[in-house]
Amino acid sequence: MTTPLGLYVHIPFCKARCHYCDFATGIGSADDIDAYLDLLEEEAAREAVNQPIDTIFIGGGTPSILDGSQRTRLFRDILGRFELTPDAEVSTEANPESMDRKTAEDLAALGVNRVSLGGQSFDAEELRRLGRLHSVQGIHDAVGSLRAAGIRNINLDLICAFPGNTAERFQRSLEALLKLGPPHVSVYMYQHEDESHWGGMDVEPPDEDLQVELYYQAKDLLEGAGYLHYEISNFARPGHECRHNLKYWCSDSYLGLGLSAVRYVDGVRLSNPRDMDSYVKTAGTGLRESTCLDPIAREREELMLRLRLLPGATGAPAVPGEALGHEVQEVLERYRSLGLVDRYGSGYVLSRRGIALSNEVFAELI
Amino acid sequence: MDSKFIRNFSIIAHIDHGKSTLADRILELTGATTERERRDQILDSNELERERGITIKAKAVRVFFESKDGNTYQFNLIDTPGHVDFTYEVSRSLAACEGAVLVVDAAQGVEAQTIANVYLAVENDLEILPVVNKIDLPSAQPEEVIKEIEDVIGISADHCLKISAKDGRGVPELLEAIVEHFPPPTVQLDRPLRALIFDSHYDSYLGVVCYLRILDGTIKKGGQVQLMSTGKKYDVASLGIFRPKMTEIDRLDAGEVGFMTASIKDIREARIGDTVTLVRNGCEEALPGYKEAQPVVFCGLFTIDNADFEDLRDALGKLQLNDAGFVFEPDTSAALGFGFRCGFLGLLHMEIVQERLEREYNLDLIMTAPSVLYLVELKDGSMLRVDNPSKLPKPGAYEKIHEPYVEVKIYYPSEFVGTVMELIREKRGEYIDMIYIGMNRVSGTYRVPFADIVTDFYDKLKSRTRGYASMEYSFIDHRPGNLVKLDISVAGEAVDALSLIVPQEKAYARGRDLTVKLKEAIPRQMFEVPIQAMIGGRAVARTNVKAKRKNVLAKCYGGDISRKRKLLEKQKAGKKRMKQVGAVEIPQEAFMAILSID
Repeated sequence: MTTPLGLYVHIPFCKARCHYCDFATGIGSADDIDAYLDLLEEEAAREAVNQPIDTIFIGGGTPSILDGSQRTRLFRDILGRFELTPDAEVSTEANPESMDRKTAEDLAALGVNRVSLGGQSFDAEELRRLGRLHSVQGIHDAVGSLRAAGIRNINLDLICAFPGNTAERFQRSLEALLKLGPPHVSVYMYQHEDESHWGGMDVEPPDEDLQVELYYQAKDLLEGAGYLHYEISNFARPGHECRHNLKYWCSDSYLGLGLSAVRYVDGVRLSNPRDMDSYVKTAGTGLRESTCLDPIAREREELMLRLRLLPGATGAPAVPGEALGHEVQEVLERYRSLGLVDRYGSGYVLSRRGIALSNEVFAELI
Repeated sequence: MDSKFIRNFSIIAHIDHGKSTLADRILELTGATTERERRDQILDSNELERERGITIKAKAVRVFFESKDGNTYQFNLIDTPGHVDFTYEVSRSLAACEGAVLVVDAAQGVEAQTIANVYLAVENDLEILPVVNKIDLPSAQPEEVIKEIEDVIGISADHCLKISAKDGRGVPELLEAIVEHFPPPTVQLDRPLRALIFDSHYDSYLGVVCYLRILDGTIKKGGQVQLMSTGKKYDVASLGIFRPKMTEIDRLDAGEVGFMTASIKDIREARIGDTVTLVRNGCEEALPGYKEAQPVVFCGLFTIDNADFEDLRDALGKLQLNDAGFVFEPDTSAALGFGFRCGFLGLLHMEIVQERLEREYNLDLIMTAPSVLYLVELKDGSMLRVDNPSKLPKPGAYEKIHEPYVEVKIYYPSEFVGTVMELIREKRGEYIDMIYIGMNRVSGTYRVPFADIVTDFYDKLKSRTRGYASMEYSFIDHRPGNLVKLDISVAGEAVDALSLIVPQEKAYARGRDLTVKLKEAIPRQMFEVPIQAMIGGRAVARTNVKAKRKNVLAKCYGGDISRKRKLLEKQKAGKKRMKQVGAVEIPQEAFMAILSID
């Protein structure tokens, strides 16, 4: 029996671009979306394999921007080409403003059993500043709609340490989130991206020390509330880790459809273009930028990705293979002496302090 | 050719006043180059020289000019280096000439190097022909500039030509004026050979190519010659001229200018200013004015990766082939490991060498801050030369430290008199005198410790005079100073390469400022890094580089991995540009921090 694959589908459309975002996404009309679905269908026809799929992740952009008939097309004509295992995790990202009761019920009917909601903050003023289109109440309503539709496996995204964010405001957001009690939470430390709206402005993020303090504030509060900190930015109640995302960090195989999507099967990475014009030209041909790392480089990358997983997570710890030899071992031991990694079982994990400094270690592993 | 039809001359100018453009125009008008062959500024052949708009190596080009008087003249145009670091080389090039065309920018007027070059020309008894260049510029004020030249240099305005080297206006008239005003060389063919080496370069096939001006006698291919400073003998392998391509000829006679090769392997054997004579029937006395080039600015050079040490040695050796003014010797730093102590003719010379090392030899280097040459008077009365502050003996082991002083001439608009004086005082300098040039400009002369010139003097002068000031300096002597050594420790370890010698009265302030600058220059590390400034083992200032706390990719999903890899690789490359000193990674900027403190 073959190992099931993951499947990622990218929906690169949003109603508006958030101020911190530099993702491959844009504002699209209904016609643009229809044309894009045509391309996805071509890609799906080519990519569909006999291997079963056990996780699907529809990301964006804002996948919930699709209207009813577009959604049906996505699930029936595109995802329908793939064979799903009976217990498959089917996730989609969504923004609160486009998650009403009807949409939630539609999604449930189409087989979606996990939704990742972009909440970002529970502070009305902060939501405005971030360029979000929803209100605080909107987050509550969206969670309510999903639960009413039977989708209880919900993730809420929060962002911290963005320009203007403070410990007090962040604490209020965390407390409001805990009251809602989603089984999965992602906390992202703001990353100043040159290509974002804020990147082009004279906007200063909080200083390094405050950024890290806010992050540990979230870690401590969520762990205290029973969440497992299982990846650098992800927290879950036991059994609610995102199985699809775990595939990335465990270097399992997955397919990718759509703009900027990546397919990674048995160590070969095929990347779709990040700009729409190039994607339109290549979607039908299957010609993609390919990366095939040599065995050592591949092992190093796998080790680096797995180090993102924290103690207790499925897939942790990172165990350097024999082939990597002393050099990698020495790097890890050096960072152990600096307090950035700990031994864990037969391998290594990032220490509490090492999580926020993980690039120091990663840069020497790749 | 009868020597009365020969004119040997240089063009002298302040930087950017149009020397090279005028040289191009002369070559073009005399048919040495055709339009199609012509690259801009032929005489500046080194890429780096072109970029910086300066000429480092002099060259001599022979052209022929048909004058209105019906005769054909041989012009030997001798290009001179255009920077204060190469004063000696300029003076030797000028010694090969009878005349100098003084180019002054019609918009900028007389500048520091204009005057400095005029003095050199006068010292060498040259006829000076002033021209006002760039009259095509809208901002040109030729009449005012002629007045300045008259006031400062005392040359009658009647002789002053107005030209535009760019569009060629006035240049044919200049060629006629060269014939008319510059004297032909005075020659005595029957005297024993005396030839001046006024420049040289190294060619990997020919060995050292010496540029000669024949003062007396004749030199022939195949003859046996001797260099008078070393007594070494050589067979003349080839003689020739530049037109501007190298063209071989069989002989060079008194009054002429050309090149000689003689299988000379080391450029230091054929020193600029040396005299070439014949082995048999040689001359008695060498030409006056010969000096050995003395380095005045020193710095340490270390490779970031210790494994590159031999590559650095090779690179320095290759650079030295063509640069007699550059010296280096192995040096060991407790903090930085094995490297070299290098000496330069000046700050610009140092920058040029450093850039060439990085550009042409692709070496990642740590260069320590420039130091001057101190003379340390020991208890027994002997003098110890110290060009590296970390090598200063312990207090008590010496009597006094003597530091070099320079005389600085600064030309600037008179509205900045107070500002410049303030800068001079900050830099421990003193006023000597000042003269007014025309209505609004002054030429001030000051005495300043050279150590204060090599830091940021020129940058400060430029910024405080809104870019209008120009300067040049010359060495006076060494004087005793009340100086102490300031040591720096990083994370508890003394970093010898950061030591510096400072005036006692400024030591505390320097220590404080330097620790603050170092704190800014050293990036956060995995642990807190204390930085201390110490005098005689006692801490006088301290700062801390806080421990680094954040370096993380919040998101790394399937589609991101390739992009994130690039980001991590960039970080890794950044680390490779820092020097590991103990447990701390120190970037190049930290070693230059002392240049930006007052």
